[in-house]
Amino acid sequence: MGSRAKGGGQDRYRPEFEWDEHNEEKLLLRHNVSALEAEQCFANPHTARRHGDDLLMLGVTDEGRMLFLVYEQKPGGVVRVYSAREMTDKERRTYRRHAR
Amino acid sequence: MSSDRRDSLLDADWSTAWDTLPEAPALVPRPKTAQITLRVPASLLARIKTVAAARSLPYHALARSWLVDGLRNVREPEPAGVASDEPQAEQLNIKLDQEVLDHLKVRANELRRPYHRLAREWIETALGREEESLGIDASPRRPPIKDLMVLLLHTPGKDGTAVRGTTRLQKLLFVIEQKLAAESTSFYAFNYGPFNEEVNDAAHALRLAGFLSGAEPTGAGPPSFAEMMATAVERSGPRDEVDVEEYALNERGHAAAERLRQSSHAYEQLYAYVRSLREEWDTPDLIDRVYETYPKYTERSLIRHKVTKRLDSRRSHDL
Amino acid sequence: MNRTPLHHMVRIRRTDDLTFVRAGIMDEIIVNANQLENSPDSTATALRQTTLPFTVDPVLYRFQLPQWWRNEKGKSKRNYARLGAAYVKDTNIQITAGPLVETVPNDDEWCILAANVLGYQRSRLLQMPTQLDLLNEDHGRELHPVRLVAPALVAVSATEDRINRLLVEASAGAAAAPIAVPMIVPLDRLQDARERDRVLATVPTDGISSYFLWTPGVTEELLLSDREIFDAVLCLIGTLADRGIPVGHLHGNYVIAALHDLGVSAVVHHLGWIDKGEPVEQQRGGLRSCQTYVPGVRHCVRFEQANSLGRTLDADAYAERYCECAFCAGSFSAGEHPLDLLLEDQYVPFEDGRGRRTPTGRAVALNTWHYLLSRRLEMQAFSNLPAVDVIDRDMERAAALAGSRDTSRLRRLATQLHSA
Repeated sequence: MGSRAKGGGQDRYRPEFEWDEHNEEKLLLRHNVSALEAEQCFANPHTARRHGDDLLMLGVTDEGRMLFLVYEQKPGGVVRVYSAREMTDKERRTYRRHAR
Repeated sequence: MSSDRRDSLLDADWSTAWDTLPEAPALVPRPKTAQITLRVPASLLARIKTVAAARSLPYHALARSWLVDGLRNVREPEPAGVASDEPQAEQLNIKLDQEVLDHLKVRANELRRPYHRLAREWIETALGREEESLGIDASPRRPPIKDLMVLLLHTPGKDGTAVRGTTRLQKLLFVIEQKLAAESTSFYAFNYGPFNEEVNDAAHALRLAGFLSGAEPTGAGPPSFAEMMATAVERSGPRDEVDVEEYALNERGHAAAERLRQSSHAYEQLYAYVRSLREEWDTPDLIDRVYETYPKYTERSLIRHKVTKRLDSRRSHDL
Repeated sequence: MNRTPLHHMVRIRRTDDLTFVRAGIMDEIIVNANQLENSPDSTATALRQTTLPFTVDPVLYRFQLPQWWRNEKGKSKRNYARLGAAYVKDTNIQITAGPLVETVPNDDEWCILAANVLGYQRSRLLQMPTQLDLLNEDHGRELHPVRLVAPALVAVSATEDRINRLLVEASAGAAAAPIAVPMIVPLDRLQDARERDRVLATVPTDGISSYFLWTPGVTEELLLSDREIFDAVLCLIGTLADRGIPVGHLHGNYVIAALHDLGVSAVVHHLGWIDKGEPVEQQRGGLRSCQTYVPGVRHCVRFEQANSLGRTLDADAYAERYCECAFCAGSFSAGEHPLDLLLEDQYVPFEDGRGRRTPTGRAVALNTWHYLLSRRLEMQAFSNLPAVDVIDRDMERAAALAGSRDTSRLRRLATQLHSA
């Protein structure tokens, strides 16, 4: 069983993440999002959708940064995050409507 | 899926489309243990293994302990200084509890540094401290004699790549080392001028590894009769003249030398330099020139007078 | 009766010995630490090629007397200087200033020295590989010795006994696992029962994985001709073996291998086939004498005698009486008589007009293979059969090859074993 994440007061499982130096550095240096911040989005209330082969998430970090993430879920449920940015204002409203 | 393609998804505003998209699959809980994979240069991994051996510990466990200690430390790691251009060709896999990995990510987030890089820096910092306490000197010094020898034997000489005679091999490597790092030379004045027993050791190691002509790598099991005879063939018999040993790389040796040459920019430059030195110094009067240029190393030579006489005679002839 | 296999260990004394290191014809290699300092790279390369387990003999006793580590000009040999420096790290010991017993100021320094010696064995062969090594796909195997050996001095007197006990205890404390302990007993103390007991008291039982005995000056001829010496050696072996800890012999010959049933678990021998009684100090230079090992009589003989014993034998008779090793068998298969190869010699003139004959370089190499393979067969024989059966068979063989004169040695051994 996975560890319970903080935030939201709901039972929420943390998945296993696949980070290597390439995607971790790229996320931080190009998009200013740390691996921890990306993972926090999965642990905190979020909403996620499928767009073709891609998975999209609107989530929030422990510090309250509201992020849009592009990720993939590999066999076994391992998550690899590819890209991230701050949400737009409209996406924030979407997040508040859908986040669980 | 290309990275650029995924990045392009950031350009759109997804608020409108969100309601029309299907839900993403549910998340799968993570296991209790995790692993971090660090890419490191081969030399760094070798240094970790050396310290681990000296401490009688498995090297993965040692690296993990350094990482955990680094996390407990309030101070930031001290990065190693100028990064080498050595490729990060090796992997160091460290198993951790999820909590420890989480802690690492928290610290990385505070410092706004990638956590892989932070982990590597903590390991490098701890490695440096351990090497110091064990008295292991890992600082880059003069290139090892064996590597210089392989590069030398890979360069073209006047008659192919081989070097004829142990004396010539010793003197050529001496000159190369003098030009590269005279202050930390391993050569000393001996019976026939500058000498270094590392040269003989390196040549023997290359022979045992099957890199020199006439040598195959030693087999793993009992020797065949042919293999036993092969060890004897290169030694002298009763009617042989005193053979001058020839040092030449075989195909395997040249392939290894080429890999070495291409392993980094530094080694490419080193090869070019060794090549130019060989062109300049691998002449019939090599011994005389070494005696003339480096007299300090000829003080104990048994043939010093003979060489001096020859040099004097040449000078007076030139006059 | 001890029927576990006799562990066959080969000692590497010189760089050239590395040529002969091969799995299948030995069980383990033991490398002298001074040789390791002489040729670290080629030693490491040879060990990696074979996958054989290895041990490093720290040879601390070589620092007991200056003539053992100094050259003819009185200067420290470079490999010993490097070795000594590694051993005395973080101490005040000037190891090459004089006899070791006089240069170590106190017990604390002996303990640090012991720890350094163990650390040296653990890590010397792991020191930084070169870039060439790292790129070489065969470089993978890490070289960890299969056992750690406590440093030991030749037990000359009660002074060395006390130090040896201290070294063993300090080593046991510094090691993470049980250690091997050498016992180097000089001939004069070996012959005195009380002195033997004093030396035995220096080696504890706890924390010890194996004992390795050495009796400098005790040749095989001495063991066979002097019953008291034979019994003394047997007494040492038996007393140690009774502790339930394996006992090896650091310079074992045929007679020592025959004691497998009486407590010897491992035999170490070097690659020279002439029995010089294994003095502690290194042998200096000199031309090799024209002698070869004849398995048929179980000792070395001069070339002329070997020639007369074996030259006229055909392949079958040779294998039956003289030697059945893979080298000799291979020679016949290749159409050559092995003695043509083994007995090749040359005349070497000296400056004073005299000279002598010596084996050629080729003959030395081939004699080394022949000797090594013969010893291997001998170890296997003592592993598989009771010693008295092996000796009986060898006596028959010696009689068939050389007549009754060469069976007396073996008969004496059989008698001594029967009454042991």
